[in-house]
Amino acid sequence: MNRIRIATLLLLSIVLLWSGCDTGLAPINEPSGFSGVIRFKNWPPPDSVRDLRIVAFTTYPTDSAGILLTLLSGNAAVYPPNLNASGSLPKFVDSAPYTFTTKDGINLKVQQYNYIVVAQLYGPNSFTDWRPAGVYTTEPNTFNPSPVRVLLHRIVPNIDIEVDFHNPPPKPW
Amino acid sequence: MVTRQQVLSVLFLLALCSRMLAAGGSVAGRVTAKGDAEALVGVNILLQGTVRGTTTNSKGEYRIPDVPPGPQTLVFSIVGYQRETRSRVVVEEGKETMLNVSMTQTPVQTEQIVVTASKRQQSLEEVPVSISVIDAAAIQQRNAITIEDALRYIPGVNMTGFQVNIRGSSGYSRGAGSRVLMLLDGIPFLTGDTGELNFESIPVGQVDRIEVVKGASSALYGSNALGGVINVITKPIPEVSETIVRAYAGLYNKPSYDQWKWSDHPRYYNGQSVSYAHKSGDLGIALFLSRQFDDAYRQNDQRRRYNFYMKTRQDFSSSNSLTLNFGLLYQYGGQFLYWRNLDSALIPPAIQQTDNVKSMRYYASGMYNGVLADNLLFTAKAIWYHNDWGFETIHQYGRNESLSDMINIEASSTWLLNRVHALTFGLNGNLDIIGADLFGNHVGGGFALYGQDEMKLSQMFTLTLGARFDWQSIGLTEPTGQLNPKAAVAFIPVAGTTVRASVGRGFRIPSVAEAFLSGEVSNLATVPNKDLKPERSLSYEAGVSQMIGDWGTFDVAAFRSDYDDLIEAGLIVSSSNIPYIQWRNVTKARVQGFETSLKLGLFQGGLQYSLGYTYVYPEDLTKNDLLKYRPRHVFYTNLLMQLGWVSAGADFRYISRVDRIDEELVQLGIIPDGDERVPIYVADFRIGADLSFTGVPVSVTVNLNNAFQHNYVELIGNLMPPRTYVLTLEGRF
Repeated sequence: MNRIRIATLLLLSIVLLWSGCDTGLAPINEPSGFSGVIRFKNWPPPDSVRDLRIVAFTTYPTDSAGILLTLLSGNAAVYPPNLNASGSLPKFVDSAPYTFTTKDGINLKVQQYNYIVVAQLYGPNSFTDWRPAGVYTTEPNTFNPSPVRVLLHRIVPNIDIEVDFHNPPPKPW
Repeated sequence: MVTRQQVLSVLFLLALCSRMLAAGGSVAGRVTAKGDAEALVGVNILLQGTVRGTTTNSKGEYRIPDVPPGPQTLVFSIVGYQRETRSRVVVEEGKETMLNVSMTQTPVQTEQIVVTASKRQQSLEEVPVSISVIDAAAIQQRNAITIEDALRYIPGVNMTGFQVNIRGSSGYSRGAGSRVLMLLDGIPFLTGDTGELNFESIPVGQVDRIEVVKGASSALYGSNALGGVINVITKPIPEVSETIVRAYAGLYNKPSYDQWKWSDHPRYYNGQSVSYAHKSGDLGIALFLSRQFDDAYRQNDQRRRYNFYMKTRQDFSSSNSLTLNFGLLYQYGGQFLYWRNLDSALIPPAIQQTDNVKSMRYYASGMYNGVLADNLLFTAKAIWYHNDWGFETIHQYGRNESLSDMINIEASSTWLLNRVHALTFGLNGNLDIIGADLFGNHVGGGFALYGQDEMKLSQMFTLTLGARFDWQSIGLTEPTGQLNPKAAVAFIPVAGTTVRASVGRGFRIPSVAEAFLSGEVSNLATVPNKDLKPERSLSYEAGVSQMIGDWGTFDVAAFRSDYDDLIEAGLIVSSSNIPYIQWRNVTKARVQGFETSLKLGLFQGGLQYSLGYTYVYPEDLTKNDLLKYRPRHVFYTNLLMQLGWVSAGADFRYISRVDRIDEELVQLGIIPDGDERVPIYVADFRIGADLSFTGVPVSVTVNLNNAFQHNYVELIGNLMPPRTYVLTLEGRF
């Protein structure tokens, strides 16, 4: 009888040992970010739209050093991530849907972004010739930027941006 | 000002007094194992009815001088052997009585001698409270690098990060305050500023055993002993000179998922230590030096640690001794508070990536033991524990540093009044001096008086009554006085069966960190609270311990603790809508449950098996919810096989998913994915070989820890180590 009890206990222990094969926690792999549609109006000549990017700033940029230094300092995120000219947002279209996530962009983090723009490279100098072509706002017919909080493992929808090349928002840098 | 000469004079007088009291004959002999007549080293020999005793030396020999003439009873005990009692040993004036004893081996570990339950030596089976012991062999086999590694295998104990939880008494208090009192050789060993357990200061290689008392023990130990006591007892200095060289090298397995990889290089850890012990006449000395390097499996969690330890013991006579200890720890490394998120579980948020922590901690302690009369033992203990630690969080604060000095002095006596009453009484004083950027400058302290009477009302029944009064002040609005009584009974109806029950009060003074922390924790501001009051508990326990033949023991206990004014760190929103953290007396709580444990020794001790299961129901009566960070089920089991010069072992522990954590830290987005947690299943394996039979005094051990690479957290946002492979070599010369 005692041997049966001991064998039962040993067996129970072995079963419990093997139950440890469950690997426990795993990455969630749900990206974080935001998505929406960019609507374009009044396209200018091709040589003044060399590149288009969505840039999300944590704070309103007043730094004269411009987008690149802000990006390098970690206070801005960029989409699409391929920084060659071929990696630009689609050009000369009426609208372009996008999904800007922590996996599909540069530097996007789970935090609040207070100034989100479509940035236009209008000249040959890719370090300095940038200006905002459209800004994300929830106030129609204004350029007052609206904040977007990137939530963990969630894609915040409906972050739509209007781009009117004849009526761009003020250039902050 | 007390001079060195005055101290030495007092010690000399005490020794002289003892010698003057001494008279009579002596008892001497040799203790061997029955069968092979092998000498037994370290056998405890007690002259029954007195506080006098000794242990056998490396040849198994012993001698007790100055034994009163007449018939005496001697009790011989050692772990793994049946206790032997020799009655009516006739001692004559001026003569030496020879008494050789052979002891019978038992397959299970019985006759463990413990000192923590009543501040005096007792057989484990006579103790009226739940107590677990882990010895040096078990610590070494598991290659425990720090004390907390060893504590993870004690029934009823689980760790939340670096904090100990005994039977649900503690949750997680962010390193501030502890509801478990740690002792080093019976002397309080908590830091003066944060009041926490600092395991790293005690070199594991010098630990003889760790005794864990479960349940409120404030009636003997005062503040902090609310949930229990951990007493780390260092090794005695051996009779024969000994040098031990030890080295280990470990490798962390690669993470389970490629996206958790943050380094292209394998992550290693290693350590080396050397210890030397020598005894010359009545003076013994032990030295220990170690270094430990850990590359860490997580980014910015690397460690470099150096320990130095020294112990000296002077025997003035067979019954008077002075022991002095000195320990030093220097450590620096990074700091990993919590993960970036579960997708980047081994990387801290960018803001923590340059954090670093540097610590210099040292202590000096002394203990004088003197037998003033055959039935009166006097002990004086003192410790000075200095802590200097600081951290840099480059992004926010600049360097923060905390300096603290903790001084504790205690004088106690054990007086065996007659065959019925064994009295233990003493007084204690403490002083804490703190200068810290985060906590401010504070001087606190207090005193305590305590007494206990163990009444052996019959051969079967022992009643223990005791109380301790503490007065403490750390600069709070109201200084605190507290009386903590206790009562306990042990009933041994038949040999091998012990029924026990106890009730006692516990209390804890808030630590300086809890009362005065002013800064930031987890990116939230913290606000001091001078109105904090001590937290209190009333604990009950009843249990039965049963020997199963000579090959097993079984223990079951039910326990309950009711807490008042439990101190918890809470998130509070100010009138201007700004959240901040403050420690407050917020909770009335009840923790109840039961615990079972079983130990089996089969095949003449060649196979040792044990298991322990603890169920805890931790209620927050104020919020009608469960308390945070308390798992409800804790299960351990382990198997150890010894086959000649080869040994093998396996450990498994299951800890259920904790029901509640700091949910607000997750909701506020401070610790992304902080609510991700799973039950804990960890299996460790080891195999070792003692090669001394080849003439080379070397042992080799290979450990495989977290063999199934279970990914789990003990603490919010802190993934525990993956599978690790460790090779340990030890040489004894």
